[in-house]
Amino acid sequence: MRRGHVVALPLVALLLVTLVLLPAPPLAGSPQDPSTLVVGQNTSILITLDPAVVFEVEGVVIVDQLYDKLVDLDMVDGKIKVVPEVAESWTLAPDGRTWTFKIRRGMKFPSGRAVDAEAVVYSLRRMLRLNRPSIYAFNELGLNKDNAESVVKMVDPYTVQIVVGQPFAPDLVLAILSFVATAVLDPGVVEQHIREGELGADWLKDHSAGSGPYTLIRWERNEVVDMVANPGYWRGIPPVKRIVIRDIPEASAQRIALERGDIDVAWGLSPQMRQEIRNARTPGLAIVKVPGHGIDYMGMNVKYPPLAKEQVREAIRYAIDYTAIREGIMRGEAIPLQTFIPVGYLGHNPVQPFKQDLNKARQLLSEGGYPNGFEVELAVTAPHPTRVDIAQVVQNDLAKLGIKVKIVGAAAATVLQKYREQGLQLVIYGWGVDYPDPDALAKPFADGTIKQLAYRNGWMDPRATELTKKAMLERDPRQRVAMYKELTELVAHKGPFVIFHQITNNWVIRTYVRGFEQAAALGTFHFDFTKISKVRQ
Amino acid sequence: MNLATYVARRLTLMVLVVFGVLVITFIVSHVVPADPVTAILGGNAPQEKVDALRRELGFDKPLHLQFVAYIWGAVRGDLGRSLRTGRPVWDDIQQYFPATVELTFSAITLAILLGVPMGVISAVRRNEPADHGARVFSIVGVSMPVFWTGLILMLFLYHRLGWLPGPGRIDFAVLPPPSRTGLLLLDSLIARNWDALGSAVAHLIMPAFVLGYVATATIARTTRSSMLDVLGQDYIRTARAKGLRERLVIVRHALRNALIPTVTVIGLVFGGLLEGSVLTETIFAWPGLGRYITTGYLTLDYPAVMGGTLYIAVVFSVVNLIVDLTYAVLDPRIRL
Repeated sequence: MRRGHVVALPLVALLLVTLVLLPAPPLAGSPQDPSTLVVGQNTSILITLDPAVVFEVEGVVIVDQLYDKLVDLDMVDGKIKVVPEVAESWTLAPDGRTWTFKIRRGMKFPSGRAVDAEAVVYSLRRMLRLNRPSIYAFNELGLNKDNAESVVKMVDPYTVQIVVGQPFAPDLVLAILSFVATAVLDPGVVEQHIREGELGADWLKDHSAGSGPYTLIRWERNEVVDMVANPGYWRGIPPVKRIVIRDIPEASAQRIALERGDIDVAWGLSPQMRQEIRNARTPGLAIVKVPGHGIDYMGMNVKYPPLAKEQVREAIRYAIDYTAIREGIMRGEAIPLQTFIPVGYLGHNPVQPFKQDLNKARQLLSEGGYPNGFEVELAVTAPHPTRVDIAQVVQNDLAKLGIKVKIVGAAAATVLQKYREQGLQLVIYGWGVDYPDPDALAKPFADGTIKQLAYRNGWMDPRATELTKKAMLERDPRQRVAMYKELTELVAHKGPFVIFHQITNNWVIRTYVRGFEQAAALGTFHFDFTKISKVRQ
Repeated sequence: MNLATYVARRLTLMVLVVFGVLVITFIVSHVVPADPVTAILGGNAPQEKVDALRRELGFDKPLHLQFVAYIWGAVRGDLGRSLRTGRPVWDDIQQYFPATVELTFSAITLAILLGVPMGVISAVRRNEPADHGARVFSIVGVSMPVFWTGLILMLFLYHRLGWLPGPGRIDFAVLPPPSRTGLLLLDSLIARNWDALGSAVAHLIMPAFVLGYVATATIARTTRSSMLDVLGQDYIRTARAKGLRERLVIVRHALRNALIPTVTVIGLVFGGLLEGSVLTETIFAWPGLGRYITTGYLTLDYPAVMGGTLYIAVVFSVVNLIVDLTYAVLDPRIRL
């Protein structure tokens, strides 16, 4: 038996170590604490928390908690509206280009410094000078690093003037200004950390200098993002005093931690897991779903001869079983949409002209000159939780018309590179909206002169380009809506796209988390943690 | 050959190996038909921004010039900046590597502590229940995917039983010690922060076991077969014949000689653990270098991939050098 000691000793030692450590005592600031909200998320995507640089959705959501922006967004009766934040009011001069913003009095940074026109101008000019890819929409408004001094000016200590390049539609300008890039920074704090002309971007990667509801305590990369309530926040201290975003990259691990109550919110469960939770009615868990700012679509490159025929493209639109995709693959989480402006946006066109009608599709295909179908390649990013399955539905549906689809899966960057060069035939991709205005969709989907989606599919239509440009400058919202109605219908029938649906944003939360739906109403465009509370017994 | 010459020769070889690794990673990452700039900026960015960034990052230059620039930087200790985050790759490695070291060393320690005795018992009690048990354990270890073992253990030990903490390196409610070495256990000890130490050890058990399981199985199997081989040798019979206690025969005479193949395997397995920590790090939310390199691969962040791989290659080579040097200690007949 003595020989057994050789193996027994280490095992016993291991067991003892394990037992000594158990059970782990509950700790202050743990998920049991009702003033702490714990979120499980894959944080490896985070690059920076500098508002002038950040572009990743998850990063934007965090930055939104740390800063106040010039203007903010709200959801009013299901429609996205721009509302005051640092600017409490604004006027547009008759020239249509000169915007004057009145800055709210009484707001302070944690340092005690007032949030005033000087801070706003400092922050906006800094953002323009840094000139990162995230601010391309500001460049399109005619605001850039070269004219930062002249287009953003302080009129008096509480008035700021911004002069845009053209008399753009006011809603468009405000929608772009609601992006976190207009977050107001404490100039005194930033100035202390500037090195060699990088305008403090290194320091601001993992520090905050804002007046928002929360302050960043620490961001340990791939570990945790930790924020505490800002006691001087102008709207009052939020109910949740601390937000901890724990890095849990693996969805299954997120789910386990959520079911165990160690996290309150799971940010990245798969559609399949959500369906399981929904079907099992797992006690203590709830699913929050809000309209997302993105569209899943299939591009049809008109440079490929069969797809150059309008009838062929229309036939494909009539061949696809949209319901099967929404219910079977998207698991009921997607919103029906067949025109390119999503639900909630100005100019959203609710028509849904297409549903699977194989007879009509066959007839259109014959009219297009391909009664027996043709061969075509369908590119799809793989791996992907849903697009590969959607590709198979498309393959199956088009086979019924005699169109032989070869699915080619590749990494996103590979697909994207070919796509940019007009090098694909069919492609399934998604479009995430950059700012909540129809212009952010009209440009890519309708204007082939811009090197965006229409261009990548080789499609150019003079009327669509004209309407896109006119609507961008139209100051009367009703006129604008009328233009987008015409434009969306033109693209729906003549354009190079099959629009599958609008995506949704989904979270799984513990039921004792209240107000999450309100907090998440604008999806990831403006996530408002101040509306959340925990009512754990 | 004396020790100094041997080490010098091995170091020269190491430089060649590392250079080879560099060349291969560079070629592999650059022949992939995908554009890192496209990956960084995503689908929405206008073409002008894509072109501008490509110029800014030097991707418009010929490949051989990019390679020379990279090598020249690496020689001077500059591994470049991550394309995705803009941070110096060296800073990233310093941040993520300690977590991987802690995990890998715990895993290999656990694997040795479990694997060697298991192999010995198996050999000594050949074809008895203990041997069968150990062999089943080994086969399961070698054949189960880390991903599966990790999730199942997490489901039982964390979710159902609550015996061990879940993902992460330390409880977020515990104040971590100030980072001196980056090794959480060591930093907690230095700071005498017992809460942090307890939490860190508890968090380490499951991932270390999961990562070390495959290694345990390999070590146990190697130890078993080499023990069986040694136990059949004449000198063991002699040792027994002269009336030595069985325990002395096993530990001093048999095991010591049987360990040489095991040490070789440990060295090799250790390299595998360094590379293979990716899945464990992902499941257990471990902020290590494996995940850093994988994220780099997925986002075509070449400098991150090349820097991380280079670093691991160097560490692996050093560990194997140390392993080779231990042969001499174990068996004085082996001349270096």
